[in-house]
Amino acid sequence: MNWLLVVEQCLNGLQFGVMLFLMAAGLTLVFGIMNLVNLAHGSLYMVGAYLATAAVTRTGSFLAAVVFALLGTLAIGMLMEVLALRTLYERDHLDQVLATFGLILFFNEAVAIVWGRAALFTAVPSALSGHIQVLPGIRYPAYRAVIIVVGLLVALLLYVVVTRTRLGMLIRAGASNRTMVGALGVNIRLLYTVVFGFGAALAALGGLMAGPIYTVLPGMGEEILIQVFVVIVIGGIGSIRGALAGAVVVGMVDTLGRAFLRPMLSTVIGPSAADNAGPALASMLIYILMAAVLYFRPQGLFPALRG
Amino acid sequence: MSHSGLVGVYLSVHTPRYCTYDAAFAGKLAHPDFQAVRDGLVAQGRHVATLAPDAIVINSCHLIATFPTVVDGTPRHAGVLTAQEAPELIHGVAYDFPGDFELAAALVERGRAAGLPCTLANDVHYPLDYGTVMPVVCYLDRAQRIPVVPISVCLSADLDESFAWGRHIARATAALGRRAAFVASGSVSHKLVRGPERWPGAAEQELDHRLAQLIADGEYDKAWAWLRSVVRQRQLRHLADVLEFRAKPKEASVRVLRLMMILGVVVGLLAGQAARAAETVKIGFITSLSGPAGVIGKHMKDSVELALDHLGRKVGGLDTEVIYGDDQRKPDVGKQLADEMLKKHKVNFVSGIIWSNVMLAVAPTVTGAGTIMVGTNAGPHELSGKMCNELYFTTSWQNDQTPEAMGKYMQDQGINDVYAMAPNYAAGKDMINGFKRYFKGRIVDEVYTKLGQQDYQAEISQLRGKNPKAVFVFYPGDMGIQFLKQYAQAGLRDQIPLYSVYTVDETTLPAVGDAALGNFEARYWSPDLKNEASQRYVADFKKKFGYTPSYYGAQSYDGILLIDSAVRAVKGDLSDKKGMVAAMRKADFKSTRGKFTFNVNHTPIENFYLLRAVKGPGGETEMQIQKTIFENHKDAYYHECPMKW
Amino acid sequence: MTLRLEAVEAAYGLSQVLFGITLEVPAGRVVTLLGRNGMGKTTTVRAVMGLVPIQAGRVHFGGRPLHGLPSYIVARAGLGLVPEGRQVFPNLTVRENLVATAANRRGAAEPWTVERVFELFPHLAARARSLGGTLSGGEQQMLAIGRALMTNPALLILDEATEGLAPLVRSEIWACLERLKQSGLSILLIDKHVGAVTRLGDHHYVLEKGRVVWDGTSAELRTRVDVQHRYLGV
Repeated sequence: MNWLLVVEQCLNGLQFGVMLFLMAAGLTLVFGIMNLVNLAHGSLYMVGAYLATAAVTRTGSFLAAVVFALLGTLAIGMLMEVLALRTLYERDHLDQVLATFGLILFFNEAVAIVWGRAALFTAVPSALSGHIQVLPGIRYPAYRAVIIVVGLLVALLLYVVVTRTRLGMLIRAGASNRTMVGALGVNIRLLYTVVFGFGAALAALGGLMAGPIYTVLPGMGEEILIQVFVVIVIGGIGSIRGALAGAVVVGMVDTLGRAFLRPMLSTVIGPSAADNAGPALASMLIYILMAAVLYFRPQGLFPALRG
Repeated sequence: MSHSGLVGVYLSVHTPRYCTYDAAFAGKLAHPDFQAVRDGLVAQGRHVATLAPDAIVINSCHLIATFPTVVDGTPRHAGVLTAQEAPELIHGVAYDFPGDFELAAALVERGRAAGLPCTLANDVHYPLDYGTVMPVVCYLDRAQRIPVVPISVCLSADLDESFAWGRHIARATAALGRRAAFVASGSVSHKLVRGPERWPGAAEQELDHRLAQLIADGEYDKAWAWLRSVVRQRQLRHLADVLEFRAKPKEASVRVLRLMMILGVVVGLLAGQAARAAETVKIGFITSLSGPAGVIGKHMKDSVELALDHLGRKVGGLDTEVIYGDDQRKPDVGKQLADEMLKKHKVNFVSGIIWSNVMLAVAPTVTGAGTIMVGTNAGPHELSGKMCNELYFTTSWQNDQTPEAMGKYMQDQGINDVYAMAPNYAAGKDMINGFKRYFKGRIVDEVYTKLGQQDYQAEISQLRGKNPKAVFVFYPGDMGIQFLKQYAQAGLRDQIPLYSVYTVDETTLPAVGDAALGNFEARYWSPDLKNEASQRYVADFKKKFGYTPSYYGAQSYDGILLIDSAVRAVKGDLSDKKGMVAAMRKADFKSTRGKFTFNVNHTPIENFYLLRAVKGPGGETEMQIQKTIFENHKDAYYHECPMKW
Repeated sequence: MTLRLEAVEAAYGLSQVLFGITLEVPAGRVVTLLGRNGMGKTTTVRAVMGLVPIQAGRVHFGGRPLHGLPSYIVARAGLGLVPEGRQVFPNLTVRENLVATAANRRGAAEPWTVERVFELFPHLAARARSLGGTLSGGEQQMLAIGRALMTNPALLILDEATEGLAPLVRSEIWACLERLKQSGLSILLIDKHVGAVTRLGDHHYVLEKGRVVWDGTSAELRTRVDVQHRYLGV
């Protein structure tokens, strides 16, 4: 096995991981703090991708598209929290799942009505369409490298916000005891709306970065959402650190599994058996990992401290 | 089909020899000549099942009353039947089906008000004859769930009275809001003979065929006049038969027969019109309408709608209802949809299906229920081979055929060192197998990815590591968009030529853009194919929907036209499955691919072309036919299909 | 600023708990709510704070109506809650617990700071970086008081502030409350230690089954052995 290839695949895994992280961060905050299972988080990812694509088509500027998509999705997210989700906090998880599944259908149809069912074309911004020399012998697509950098920066920023700022303290305090936070003079509803809005913006960031490499399509958020749930279960629900760790682990395991599991299996069980078992097993790896984590550490790798 | 009144009329013969369980269920017949009649009765049963009437009014010429006409309103008909006239053939038949007291009482009320002598029976001991019981339990409603109202023949009734009863039955059921079926247990050629070898000959059977044909053609007046003459004509013959057989007053026996026939036909004429007006073709169309593959479903659905437009919204001349179902690319969802369409909507055809794994779940469900399945995309090899079925057709292709064409082309080009990739599901395996059937060069590696995978960067890194000379892929729908973009972003587009099937097409090009330029595809149809049907389809499609159609659409359009040709061939008789299958086998419609034929496995024998993504005159990337790779190409599995025709 | 409750009624779902509570906490005074467990003391506090909906009656603070308002607005009006069971944020450090909800909305001239809280409770200073969940019961109680003080309230409400604490810690808390009283802070106190509350408190209300059955000054309460025996189980 070529070690350069291994390094390159690790970069691929990292890149996939940070995409997952952007989704997982918002989802885990909302789940951890508001105790809300929001299946429609993938819809916000989709909305972000669509807004960015629409803006880039209109203005031609990727930067303008980023700003528009982030602010637009922030606003849509906050609106969604105020109109639809607020009434769900006190309901049980099944109600939340049903209601937010309804939102998925709503968003998918809304997007199809506005932009049509066909996939939209969106290109990598020309400044980032080249490759960069990561190491001697490894050229890596610049756009994907930027995703890694942006993802890690967002993780760092989130870490600072959550651990070092008043907002972060309130978010953590709210996760453990929302009543007490309110009784000490903090408008917890507004806090929730804001947190939800930022979670939405993070999903949009993931979506808008995904647009040029994946497909901008109605329903694009559902596929990744399942993997994001795996991430937060592995990482520990409600924990940003857990989301990052889980995302990177899932990204790596999935990517390296897809790349190397079949060749490795073929040395053990022979090439034809590996051809059959390899792809199936590779696509199951993250679920196997999740099952293992649930068995040995039901709280996840980095559980959030709760009251 | 929500009309009340008589919604179906059946002329059900009841010769004891094929009204036995052995004949009906096991198909054991005393004489091979009975086969056609027995099959006809089985078909009647299926029709009753799709019609699902609220009640069956049955008039058997062996249920005899003397002075009044007896209507049996017993709420539950349960008993053990030994036929008075044939105890050695029909004995100890336990039956238990519901009755309909309300309907029977309403009939008697109407009869009395019209001055017809009649009476209502409500008595579990009222004896039923084999002509009433056997057709019901053997053929028409084997489950014995539909309420039955037996009505007797009356020896004292005259011809006019018989006619009158037909009208009253039709009106009483309509007034009650019942959807009822009328069964005349007997036939025009009915005669009493000793021994099966003396049963009605061809000329006599023709009388029944003639009547059926007249009614089917809507020639009610002709049927009426003809029947009167036949009744008069045949009186004498029957008289002779009766005199030979039993000593009964001739007048009475003749009336038995007359009433049976006339009642049945009068009612048939009344109901025939109602039933015809209510006749609708229902087509269940299953595809992926939501999620990432929703765009393919949209191409297909829009094409179905265009086909309906071209047919004046009438498939086979009948009112048409298409019920769309969204399988979400999931086999279990597809199967549930098919079940729902068959059971709840009682569709006459199921069509559509993008994904082979969904098709493998749906097709057997549909054909197993005796309904015709017209696939319009997926072509898993099982269904063209060992699992082929009389009721399963596809207007697309068998999966292997297209990659075979690509394999042939690449082989002919002398290309070597190919890296092959496909999603890991039924069609993915078929595609690579098909490719390898004609491509004999070296295959560097063969990689299967998860169905619906979004990111191929890991696979692309592996691919680059192997340094192949060419890449062959099958990535339909959203997977294709992602793969092509990422392949281009990895800088491989200019380094390693990409050959694909079902990857670069009109559903993916708008989103892929220039990333597909120069790609080779193999295909049986493309919007630039030059023939009249195709050009009309493409032009009208663009006009109506504002975008360029794809082969997914062309196949679906063809599917509806194929169904249309079948319904037309049987003159709208949707119960005539054999007739429709026979018609479909001719592929007698204006296909968008031009004239083609079906192989024995109901898979098209068709041409395959080499396509290339080029810049169109408008600046957008489009597919262009380069050359014909295969002419009249057969799939590789038809030898395994045991079907003969 | 006087807190005034008039005929306040409250219920948990269908079961009514408060049947017309009327009481008053004048500015700068220490008022206590006494009574056995389950008589409605904590519910009264929760009703004031907007944590239990009020079915009838009114709550005013400094003349401003507070009934029916969400708890964060009640808190912003100047009520600082030290809740039953302390309820410090276990996943925040001591310093973060103090800072997270700190505010000086009424513009106090000498607002509470983390340093002043540490002065009041030197124990806490040593544990500034420890997580709330790792503190001892007494430390948590001090933290809960400090946290409420950091909102610079005009009225401090303490629900069972000395419950379950060691005698030494308990007296430290009492001493601290004495100092707060000296500083002019109004206090509404729920406690069971009649001896201690009669020393600190000015006026006392005894609750029985959701009603005020007796009220009076410390001197009066000391003489009413019958009240102490009958309602407080002393």
